[in-house]
Amino acid sequence: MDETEKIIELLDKDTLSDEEKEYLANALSNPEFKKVQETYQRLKNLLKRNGHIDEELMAEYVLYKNNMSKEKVIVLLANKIEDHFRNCAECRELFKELNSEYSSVEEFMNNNLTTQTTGTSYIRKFKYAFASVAAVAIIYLGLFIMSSVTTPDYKKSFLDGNDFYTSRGRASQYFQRGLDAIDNKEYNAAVKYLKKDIVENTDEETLFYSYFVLGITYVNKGEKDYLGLFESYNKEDVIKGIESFNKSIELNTSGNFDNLKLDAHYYIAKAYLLIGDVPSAKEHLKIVVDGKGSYYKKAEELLKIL
Amino acid sequence: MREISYSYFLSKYHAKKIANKDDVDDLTSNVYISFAEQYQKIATIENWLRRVLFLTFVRWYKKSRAKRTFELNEEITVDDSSHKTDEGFDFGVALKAMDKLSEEKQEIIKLRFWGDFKFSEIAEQLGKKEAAVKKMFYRSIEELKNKLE
Repeated sequence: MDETEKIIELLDKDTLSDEEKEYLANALSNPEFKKVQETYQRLKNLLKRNGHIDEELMAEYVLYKNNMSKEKVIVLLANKIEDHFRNCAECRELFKELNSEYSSVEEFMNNNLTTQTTGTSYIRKFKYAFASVAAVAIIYLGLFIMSSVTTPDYKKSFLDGNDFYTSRGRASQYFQRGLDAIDNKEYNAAVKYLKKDIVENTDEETLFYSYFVLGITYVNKGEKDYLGLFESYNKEDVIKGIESFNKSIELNTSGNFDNLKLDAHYYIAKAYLLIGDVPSAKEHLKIVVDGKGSYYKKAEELLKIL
Repeated sequence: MREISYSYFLSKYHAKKIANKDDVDDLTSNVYISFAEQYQKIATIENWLRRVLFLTFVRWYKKSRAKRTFELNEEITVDDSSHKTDEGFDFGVALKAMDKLSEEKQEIIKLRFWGDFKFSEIAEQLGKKEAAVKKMFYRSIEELKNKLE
């Protein structure tokens, strides 16, 4: 290790021995090493914000929550950020502010792309359509078209991405086994584990996470289709899902996880849409829009088409 | 793209989120420069633009916030054109220098400063040896020092 590296190592240490302090003080009398110290400090100032989440990191997190980033760093830090949110109102506010900024970018882009659609994009669409025709048998395509026409977009997929995984807010064994079962699409097993988690940990503050994931599991469990077409949902399961989401909201009272509360409202709205209860869906979508939740933009789009 | 970027930042100016109209031009140029630097790696231009408009605005927001904090702390006026947040420290220049580091070096620095990860944890996540990660971190600081000189 050369001297510059040794100096950076000491600068990066939380505590220094007297001997190390003396070494560093001597070394920093050399102007070249002083510059190294300044660079290190500047970099630290650039990326750290006195115990709060840096704005750029928060921006990456907002992109991640909006399914616009899969960068390794943010995937690794998402849980840390969510842990920090629990105790930091300032950072929760920053998240809301930046999430709202991102929504405005989305809105701006959508408006601009609609008004400036070029011939190129039409060509691209036709190209994909042509490729599909070649790939899919004619009968299946016919059914597919019928299914697409008769199934609204919001019925085609209940989950918007896999971002409920960022809600791995509980470490209990049954909760984790429940998530693993969901990964394997074993929804009956997932329901069993999550219910066990709920029964065994009744007094835990973060139990609302289990109800939230249970809600998602019930709705997924209720999904039925015919050869991937004509999507429909078992009403009984969907209602159980809605009840679980409501329970999650009811238990989420600390004020530290309001974003998850708004996510639950969004999924309740989507669940109501699956069983055709549009007025109830609208009520919950409005809560998401008013609260500027992570799904604010999607809720707004759904409200427009309902 | 310049037109879309300009009208987006102009809308921020009209919404009083950007106070100075010169900043609208600067931010537009930043998007354009990013495009020139990254165009070979762009998969979907629409998504790329969404991301870059947002991140460019956040960087500007961060810079402005840091500048305001500095002004409050130091009770002195800082020259508008330089956006310096401590003695001789140009925020924008430092961010650009950081962008020019390799992806791997940026990951190490971010995990260290953003996530307070230990070198051993970073090494585990990146599938490298701890000594190699440390070495890369030290070299990144030296590289930044040279870029910022």
